[in-house]
Amino acid sequence: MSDQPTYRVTFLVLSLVLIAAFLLNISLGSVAIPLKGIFAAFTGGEIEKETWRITILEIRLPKAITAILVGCGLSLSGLLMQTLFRNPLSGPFVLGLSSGASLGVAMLIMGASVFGGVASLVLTSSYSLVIAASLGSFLVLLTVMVVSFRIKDTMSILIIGLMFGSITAAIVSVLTYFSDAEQLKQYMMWTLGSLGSLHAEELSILSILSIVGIILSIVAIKPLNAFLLGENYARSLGINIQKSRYIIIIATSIMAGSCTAFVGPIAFIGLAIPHITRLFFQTTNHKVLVPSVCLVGAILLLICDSIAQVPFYDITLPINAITSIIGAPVVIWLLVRKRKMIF
Amino acid sequence: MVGANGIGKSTLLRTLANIQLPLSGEIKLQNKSLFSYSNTELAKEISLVLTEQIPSKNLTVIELIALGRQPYTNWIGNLSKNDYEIIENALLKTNLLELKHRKCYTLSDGQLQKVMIARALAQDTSMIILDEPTTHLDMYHKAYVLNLLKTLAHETHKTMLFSTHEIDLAIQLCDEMIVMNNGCVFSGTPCELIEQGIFEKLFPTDLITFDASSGSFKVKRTH
Repeated sequence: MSDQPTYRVTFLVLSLVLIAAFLLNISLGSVAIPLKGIFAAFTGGEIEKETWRITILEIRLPKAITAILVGCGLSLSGLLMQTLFRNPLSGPFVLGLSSGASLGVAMLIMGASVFGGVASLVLTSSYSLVIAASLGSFLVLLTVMVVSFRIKDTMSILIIGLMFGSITAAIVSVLTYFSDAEQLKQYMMWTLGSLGSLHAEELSILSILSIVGIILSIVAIKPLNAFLLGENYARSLGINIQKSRYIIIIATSIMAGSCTAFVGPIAFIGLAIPHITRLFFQTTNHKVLVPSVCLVGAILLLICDSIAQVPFYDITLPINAITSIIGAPVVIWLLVRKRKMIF
Repeated sequence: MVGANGIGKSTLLRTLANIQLPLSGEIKLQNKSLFSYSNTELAKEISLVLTEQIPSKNLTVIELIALGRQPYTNWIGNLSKNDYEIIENALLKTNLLELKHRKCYTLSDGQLQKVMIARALAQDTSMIILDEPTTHLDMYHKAYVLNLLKTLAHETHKTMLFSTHEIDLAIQLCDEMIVMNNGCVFSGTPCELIEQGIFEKLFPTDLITFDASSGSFKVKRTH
């Protein structure tokens, strides 16, 4: 209808930006590869240097796809949490999901030394890392869920998230006393986050989980919009509160849990992207926000990753540092503008 | 619905609206138990205007009113042409047309209350339950909102059930009143209730008394 603004143009522009960011991300790195080379690698055509093909198909393409999936997943889980907990400061980080995952990984890497040398070798393979992180974040989520049934106050739920952060920090600092430098380094590397360490098999697991999360979010669009009025109004609009809550919480945990497990805790994406998107689209309608948050999240993480891989140099900065450097000022700026922080 | 603070007006309204469970007894809506209604069926029968603040004031007026159409929309909430007509009509009836693209945080309390009433209207139910719709409003807007409810009730043939502390205004504007007093509940037209002397017993008589001739409460002169 003429009254409702259409976002077709904005979506088109964002999609083009996403493709541009994707190509830029693949093209930049220790060696810059021109566009022609990228297309040649994709289509299997003539390529200037045969090493480029391997670089693109086996290193840069999986990394770029990981960036898109993680950008989507974290931003979307942030949006769902902000609406569900009626708190503009919610995100996978604030709610303690990332802390839970960190705790799982810390216990695995550093706690493994307790079981002796052989066990630690078996336990610290990449898959057990992912399982530990998922278990950790799921445990936090279960706790949050139990609390949310008992206490209606959403503030308490956030405080529980903060408490999990403290518990993680405390347990990690205790564990560092009992672990050697090698294990400590391994844990630190995980917390810094890396988009580039996923194999094809891991990537397909992440893709499947992300798609499941996105589908659940789309199913939850109508209840999410009703939740903007609060739970009593939502119920009076015929929404099944309990069922909708389950769907939203499960979608959130699948996306936040799998992303954190595979690439490490990545800060600020989940918190900042929904706010940037709302500012951009000037709406709170989830029918617009769910797809647009995915697009903006993917674009921003691709750009952050392009910066992190330091074009033309043979070094890679931790992705978590870049997202924090970019994300923290954005959140502060949003808070200073105050009115825009409401959701 | 009038009565002293703490007598249970809100509790009764919340129970009738199926927000909380009854302690005992049965609630019937159109000769059918309230609990035999499904969520969506009930959403087409009763809409609410509550005292609680809505969490997202970043919604525009029209977006908020459009949410009232949720019981009728499909799984993703697409609005049909008919939905838009009903929304437009709700805006018209509540005199909100020029505010329709404003964000809710820019509205005054009185305007926001009108928006919430328009949303309940757009839900197109046979009954609208309002919990103290006139709190935080100035005297003019109190009268305005209650008068609006009366007009809407007569125009749209919907039952408007609301609790209020504005007994004077309610006596002038309501078709029927429910007076909740310690242990007993009376109902009837304002005139009947005045004749029966119901309002005199509503409050302790040490400070205010009910003046039946003007239909309002007066403060006792004290020395």
